[in-house]
Amino acid sequence: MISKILPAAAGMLALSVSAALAQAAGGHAAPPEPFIYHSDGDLQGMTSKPTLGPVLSVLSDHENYFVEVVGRTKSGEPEFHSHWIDYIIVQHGEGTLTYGGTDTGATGHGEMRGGTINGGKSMDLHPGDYFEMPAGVWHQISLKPGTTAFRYMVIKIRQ
Amino acid sequence: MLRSIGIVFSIAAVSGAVLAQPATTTLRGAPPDSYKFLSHDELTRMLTTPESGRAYSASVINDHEYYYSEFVKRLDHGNMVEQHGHWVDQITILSGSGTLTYGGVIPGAAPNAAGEVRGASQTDGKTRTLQPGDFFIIPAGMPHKIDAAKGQTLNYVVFKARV
Repeated sequence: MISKILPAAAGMLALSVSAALAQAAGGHAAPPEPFIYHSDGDLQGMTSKPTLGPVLSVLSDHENYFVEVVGRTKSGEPEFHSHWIDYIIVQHGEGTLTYGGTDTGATGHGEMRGGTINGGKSMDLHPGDYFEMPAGVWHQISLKPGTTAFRYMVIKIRQ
Repeated sequence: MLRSIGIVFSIAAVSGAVLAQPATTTLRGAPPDSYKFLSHDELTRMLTTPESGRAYSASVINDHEYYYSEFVKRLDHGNMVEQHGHWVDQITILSGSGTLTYGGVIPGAAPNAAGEVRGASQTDGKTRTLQPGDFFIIPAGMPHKIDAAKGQTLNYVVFKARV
């Protein structure tokens, strides 16, 4: 009897401890995923009902990497990540990437947003394009006139 | 900046001479990457030449200890079944169509020292049709096989994460 109760109690304790830890740790701390499949249609659906924030749906979430699908209906603001590298695969729409330079008027520490990029370079983004944005480089994705839905995958790697 | 690079090279040259280490190819050990942009057309060109004797071409875009990514173009069916002991595959289909077979077992699977298994067959696997824009995650340890549809080219990008 005791031998049956003890493991159960230990299990419950472990569960409550791990739940508390997960709560305290916040995001980017999920265990390895099982097999996961999202069709193009599933991802398109997520972009209209994002799971996180106004444009993002998180597809996998770990301490040192995570994956998102992003659907933008309007241009994004300047972004700067001190500790995350972005790998981006453009899937739908026509846009412009501005990167490098400095920013005036941004807010935040480590993760900064907003303001205006000065002295950045720009290039066109088309479906099928891929780029890697190092940590610590300002970047902004804008939509071309006529593009109302711009979708891309982002792989974030902790540096 | 140039001076500090020169010093690093000098130290590397001295320690290399003292230790006389054999030359080895370092994989998964590159420094952080700088900004990199590959257009759809450039990626297409990179994958024009299949690996010798195979209807398959792959281009590793970056290469680090615990992650790397590669673009793959396949024209083949009856590909080898793969299983990675320590790598999660996160795959985005870019163009073409094909079939994913996942799960089950590779009969007689014998991992090599790196925990990698390749097999000719896979039993009890499930299948799924692959279309552009699809995304899937193959956990470490799960057998999987990706084939292009007959007469088609299948392009995808794999992000590999070490677990």
